[in-house]
Amino acid sequence: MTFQPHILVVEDDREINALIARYLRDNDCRVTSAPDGRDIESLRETNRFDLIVLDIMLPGEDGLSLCRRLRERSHVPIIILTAKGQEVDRVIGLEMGADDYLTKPFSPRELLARIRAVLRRMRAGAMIAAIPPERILSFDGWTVDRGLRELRCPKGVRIALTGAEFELLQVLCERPGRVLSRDQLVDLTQGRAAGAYERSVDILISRLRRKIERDPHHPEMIKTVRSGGYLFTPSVSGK
Amino acid sequence: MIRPLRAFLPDRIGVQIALLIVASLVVIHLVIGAFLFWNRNELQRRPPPGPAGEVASAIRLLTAVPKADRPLLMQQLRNAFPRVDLADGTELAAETIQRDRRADFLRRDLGPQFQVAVHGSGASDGQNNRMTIRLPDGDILTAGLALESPPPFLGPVIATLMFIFVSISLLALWAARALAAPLRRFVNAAEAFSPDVSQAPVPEQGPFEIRAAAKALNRLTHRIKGLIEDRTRLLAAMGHDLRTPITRMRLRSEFIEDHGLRGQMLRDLDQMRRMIDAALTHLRERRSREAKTGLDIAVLLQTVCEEFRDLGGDVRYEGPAHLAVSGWPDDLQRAFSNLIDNALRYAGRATVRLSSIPQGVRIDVEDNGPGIPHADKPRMLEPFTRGDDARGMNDTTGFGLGLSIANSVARAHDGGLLLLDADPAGLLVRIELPA
Repeated sequence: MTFQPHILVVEDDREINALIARYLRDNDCRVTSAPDGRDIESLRETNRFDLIVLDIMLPGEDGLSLCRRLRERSHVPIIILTAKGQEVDRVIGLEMGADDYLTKPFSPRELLARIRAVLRRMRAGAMIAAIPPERILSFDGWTVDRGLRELRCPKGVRIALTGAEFELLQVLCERPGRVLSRDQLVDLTQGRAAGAYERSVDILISRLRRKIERDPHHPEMIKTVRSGGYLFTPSVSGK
Repeated sequence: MIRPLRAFLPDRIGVQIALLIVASLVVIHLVIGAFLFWNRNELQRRPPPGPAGEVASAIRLLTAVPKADRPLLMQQLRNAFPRVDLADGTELAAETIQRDRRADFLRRDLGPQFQVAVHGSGASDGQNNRMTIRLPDGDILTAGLALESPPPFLGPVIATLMFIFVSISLLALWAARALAAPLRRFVNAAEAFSPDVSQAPVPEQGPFEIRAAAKALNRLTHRIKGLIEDRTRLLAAMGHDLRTPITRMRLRSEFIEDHGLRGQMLRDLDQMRRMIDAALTHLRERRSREAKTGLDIAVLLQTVCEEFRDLGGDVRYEGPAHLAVSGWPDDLQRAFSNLIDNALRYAGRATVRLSSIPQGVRIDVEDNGPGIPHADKPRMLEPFTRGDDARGMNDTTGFGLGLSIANSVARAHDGGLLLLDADPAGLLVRIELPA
């Protein structure tokens, strides 16, 4: 838990770069800043980065092709920042190899939460060999697209989820077959810093059940465990 | 005099052309009829072609020859005029048929010294009738009247009617194809014009004037699309560029120690962000988009309602737990968020109802607020129009785009939006979408 991730922030606007760096440092991260893609290779030789925050609108080499280049060489997680927020732009970014996508203007807290989620995904994938950090997970015919943040039922129909519900579902999918206490779920989703409470986990679970269970009153996928926790029963595979 | 007449003239090209034909034919017939009428005496004097004329000629010849030579002449006349079957007669038979044109003609032509009688079976077709003519010096001649071969058509009147019918049909067909059809294509193209839908240009075919008009319409469409695209690109670029300074301010605000001040900065920045999002969405709504996808509209509505409830709004959902439709989920979510936001701001309580209808689905967003007066309803769908015309945006977060965006989203889905009055008071926004 005292893991201090080393984040590389590639953003050409100096002030935005400095502000992001400052915020992340205030939240237990080591940060290196770069104004564009030129020095990334040499930086990566001398540093081991846990995650790269990459602005797409860069002078010189286009951020998307830079992302693709980085992805070819390594598995380092990449979160892209951009002013364009349409679905087609998100899809392109994710196809280029990004792990997540934020539109400007964004809340720095949201950025931090996404960084933590992606890092957690990577670590979970490394520790639990069964779940690779793939973008798309599936269980019982349902598909969870972690990049586009979409849930689709077995028929392919998209089921809307709030941000918090999606986070919770992601966490459940990453640890199937394990009993998770409310505490753990709160920690794993937004963290206490965001102000989440145990009770809200119950509300989120009940909303999720209403959306994905065949019979929400007799849940089969998200089971309540008497000692005060929940268990995600389906087997999960990555695509 | 001309103006009131206009009211009686037909509207359509095809009918106008048809009337023109009929009028010309009527005039022609009147002229011909007048000519015939004035010259009827002359005309009646001419012999009808055929047997009557031959009989008249035969009788004149016989009369001119002395009685002794008549039998020989008779032989020759029989050979010359085989049709009329000349023969000697013995007595003037009683006339059994009064009105025979040819007998009348002979009486007129030969004069009163000759007596003419027609007798026969009385069949109206003229067969088996024989004509008996008594020459002034007493000799009697008979002639058979063969059936006059009927005129090729049933009469000139019917021939004219056929001609009118055929020519009107042909001309109407031509008018329809060469004139009315291209004009209808223009109308359809102009009506269907929309800057974000690419449609086939109007075909530049047909008569010269039609081609010229088609070319002009196509060029105009092209120009308009170009203008709109330029304007949209400019506004979109402005919107995007504003995001960078707003991002900077947003990040800076995170470090403001004074909580009150920070809260105010964040609220204003959020308002600016939403304003840009709304304007860019409005601009984007007009352009072609990605493919539709299947989505659960019931879950989407419930999710939006829950999000507002989490912020303390009084929103309730009534409807099925699940219902699948086809569409663009993000746009639908934005549209309904806008409508519920409006409802909460102007009324304080909102009810969202989802139901299936034969053509698809119906979503009603109802509030118990002041509603919108009937006369103002059309105006409210225009962008940047709000119920209270107050321009101040101090504590309000609406920019007047909510209804307009919801309307564009509904239309983009081939559905529609209606503004109705809630019972007993308030506004009911009804959106219907095809399944």
